[in-house]
Amino acid sequence: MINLKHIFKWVTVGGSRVFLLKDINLEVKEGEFISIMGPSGSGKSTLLNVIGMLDGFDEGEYHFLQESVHTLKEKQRAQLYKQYIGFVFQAYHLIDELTVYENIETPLIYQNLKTSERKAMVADMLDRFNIVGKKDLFPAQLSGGQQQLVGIARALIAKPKLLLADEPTGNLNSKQGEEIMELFKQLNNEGVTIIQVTHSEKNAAYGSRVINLLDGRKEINQ
Amino acid sequence: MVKNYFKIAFRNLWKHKLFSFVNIFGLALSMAVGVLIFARLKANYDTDHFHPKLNQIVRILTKETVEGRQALWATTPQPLAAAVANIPSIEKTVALRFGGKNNALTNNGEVPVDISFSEPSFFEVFGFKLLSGNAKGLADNPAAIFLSEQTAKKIFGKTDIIGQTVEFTNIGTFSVQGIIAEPALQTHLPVEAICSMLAVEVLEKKLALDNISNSWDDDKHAALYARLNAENNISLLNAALKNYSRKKGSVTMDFEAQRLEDITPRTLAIQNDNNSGINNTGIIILLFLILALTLLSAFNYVSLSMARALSRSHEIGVRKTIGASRWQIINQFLAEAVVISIIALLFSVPLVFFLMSKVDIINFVFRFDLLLVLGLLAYGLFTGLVAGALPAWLLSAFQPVQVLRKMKNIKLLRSAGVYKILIIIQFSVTIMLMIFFVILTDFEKKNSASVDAVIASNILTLDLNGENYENVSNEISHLSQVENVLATNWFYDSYKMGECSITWNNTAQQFKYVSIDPKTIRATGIKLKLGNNFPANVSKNTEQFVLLNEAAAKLFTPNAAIINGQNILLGTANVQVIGIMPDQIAGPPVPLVFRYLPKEVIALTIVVKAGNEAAVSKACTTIWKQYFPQKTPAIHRLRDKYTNEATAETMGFFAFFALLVMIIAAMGILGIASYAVELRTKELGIRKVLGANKIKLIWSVTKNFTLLILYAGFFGIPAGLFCGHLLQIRMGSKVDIGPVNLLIGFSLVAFAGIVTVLSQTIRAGLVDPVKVLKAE
Repeated sequence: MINLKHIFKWVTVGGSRVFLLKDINLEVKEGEFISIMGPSGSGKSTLLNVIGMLDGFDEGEYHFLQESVHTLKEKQRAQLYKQYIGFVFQAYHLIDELTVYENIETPLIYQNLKTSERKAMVADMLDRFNIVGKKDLFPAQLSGGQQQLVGIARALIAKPKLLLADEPTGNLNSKQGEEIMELFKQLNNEGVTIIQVTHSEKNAAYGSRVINLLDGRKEINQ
Repeated sequence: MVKNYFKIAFRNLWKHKLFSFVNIFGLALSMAVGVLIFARLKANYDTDHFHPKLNQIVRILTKETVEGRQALWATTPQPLAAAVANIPSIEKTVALRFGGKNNALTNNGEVPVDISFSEPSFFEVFGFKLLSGNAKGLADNPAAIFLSEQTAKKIFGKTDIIGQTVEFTNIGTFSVQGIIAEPALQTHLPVEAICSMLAVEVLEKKLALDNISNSWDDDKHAALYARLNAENNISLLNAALKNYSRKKGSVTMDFEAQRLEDITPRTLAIQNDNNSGINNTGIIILLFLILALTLLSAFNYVSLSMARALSRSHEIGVRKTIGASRWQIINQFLAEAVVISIIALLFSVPLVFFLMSKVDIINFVFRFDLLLVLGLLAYGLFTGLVAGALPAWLLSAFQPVQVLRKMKNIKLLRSAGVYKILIIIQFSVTIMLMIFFVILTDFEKKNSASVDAVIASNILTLDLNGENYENVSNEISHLSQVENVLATNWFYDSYKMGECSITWNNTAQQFKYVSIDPKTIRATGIKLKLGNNFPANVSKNTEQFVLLNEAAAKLFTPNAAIINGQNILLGTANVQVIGIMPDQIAGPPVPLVFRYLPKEVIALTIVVKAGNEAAVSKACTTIWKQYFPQKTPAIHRLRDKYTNEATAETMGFFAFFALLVMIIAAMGILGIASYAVELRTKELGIRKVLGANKIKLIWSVTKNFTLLILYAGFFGIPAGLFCGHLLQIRMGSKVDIGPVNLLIGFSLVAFAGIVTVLSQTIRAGLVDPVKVLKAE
């Protein structure tokens, strides 16, 4: 599904290159659940953003499904990630002005789906995540765990093939975190490919494979 | 989707109440003016659309050709009406004769009323309705008069006045036979007061009107309208009218029909057509004015949106990651701007009605109909799009990765600094207008002070109404309370000016002149700059002497002494310049020639012993009635002429605009200052912990805004100086564009601006470090 070949990403500071990603090679097959680990500043989030096509890279090749991402224009990339990728963030990044229902619905609106279709899909999602009773609340009225649940629901509503999660449990207490990881596992079993960035060994253990990064470089697999 | 945009827009409005208030209030203020202009244009467009069978009504124009030069007139010779009545394509004609302004005598003094004469078909062809009374009077009663509601109220203070009489100067007494309801729309037709055409004959005999009823030579005092049998008959009519062309000497008159609908917007080429509304150029100027105001107030929206870019960037980033395209983000921002401008529009409408009730010059029929509502909505939409376009474009360019990574690392768009430029522009314009206003006020104050100094309240004028003054003047001068009676067209200011040409040293110049009584200069105590007054025994019939004022003398020679005493050619006669008068006291200096032409005097100036004005006024009325029982005397206090309404209105207009622009600018800076404090609370908290005191904290936030206002002064003061300079060119050297006025204008704006900023930044001093530095 994903094939990264010799990916380099750098910024130029004071005339010399500082590498954010250095010669990353990675292959991800459909249905995998991968955890990216590493200390702060090791390039985990950068790698995730590159995979998510939110961020570009300076060198290397990136193949996603049948597309060669490195040859695509920005618009086409955006098209691609909108169709196939869902994002989950540490800080949830829900839109404060929208209710739970509306937050989940928004991606569908952007895809110009009809109201009736949207209603059915959101209702399914609310039901599945057991948050029907909370649908008219605003994010500020929810606990962190609940907000993250909404965040995941929103990421999944457009039926992505790939779910990218940047420290999804980073702001949660351990019990809430566990619930979210269980949910990820379940989603993965249903066929969604997941790549998560995490600091926690425990969370990493939910995945099928761990990638360790240090200073933008992939460490030898365990 | 659209519903969603608006839903979010409303929630955002509610969440950021101060911003919403600033935006809505600022927009509503300028939109009120926009709505007013818009409604005025609509009223212009609708003019006369209320007549039945509108498309069949035409006005006959006179095309006058004099030596190859053509002129179109909205008026026709009066006999044309009877002549064309039998043209087959005409169903009915309406003849109008214009009587001009006549003063009605009321309990509160004289009220000028525009009198017209017409026939019964007036109420059949045109859509005017009688509120009360009967149109029959136009057919058979030479003393009948029909007043519009407004005129009735002006004269009687009420409208239930059928059968009452009203007396006019010149044309005598009429009996009110009907009240004309105010039409729902504007009209170009004169309906202040309509009398029967029968009265024209009577008045012409009495010489109260020019005797032109049967004259084909005068095409300036009557108008002719006609209703056609069918809409398409206008070409038939025009063909038939060719038979009525007339030629006399070098003048040819042709007649042609103009659809009533085509009268407004006004066609400038048609003369004698003063009530037909705004012409196309005027319409364009007004539209530009709307645009300028829209832009100025849209600036607030732009600058506030850009200042808030940081807060919004997060939301934009999220929306993009969950699939929003740039266009969808742009649409969302535009929707927000449109919501704000439509709400502002709703608020501006009551504001408009308030303005219309308070300001007399705003006088037109404001009527809601579908077209106006749609037009206003379009205006609101347009304003919203103009205001929202730039922020939408810039903010939608955020890349999600920039904003989602770590909020602190965001390098704010350089364009976020746009708000600074906009604040500077707004304040520059405000400073310019304020300086201009200060200069104008200063000028008017000086003017009225100098008027006050010379024109005391004990000076009356008696309008001669074309009569010879000798006897009246003589009798009045014998009244014991009267000091002096002057037969002059000038008393510090001209009542009536003529034009003459003067040739001296082979240069010919055109001048305005006034006729002045030799006694006037003595009575006023004016000190001549040079030379002498007219001699006491100056001839009434042969002109021998003139005086020039300084401005007039200057046109010939820089040193007035050179021309004083010289013989000059006045028209074709030789006269001597015997003295040089000082320039007039008020207003710009106008070159003026003072002549003694007793036959041209139009008013008597009566200097009364102080305190006896009322008694003298009464005595003058009695004397006047003895000599001219037909005419009503017109006596005024000269001083009253100087409570100058026109200047008051101009000043009001500029004050209003300066204030409007200042409020808009203040609203903008208020919002930004409030936001700046919010954004910097953390920094302010740290500073406080590090030992900054309150004053320093407040200054640290206020400083930048003070600088912006100073920059604005850098542009605004020269611009104000330039405007003042233009005024100086028009109004003369009494316009003071010195540093004091400039400084006052600038300080007023700077003060208002800084106070506004302080109202927000004062909070900086109250920051509680424990609260703001708590870990997030």
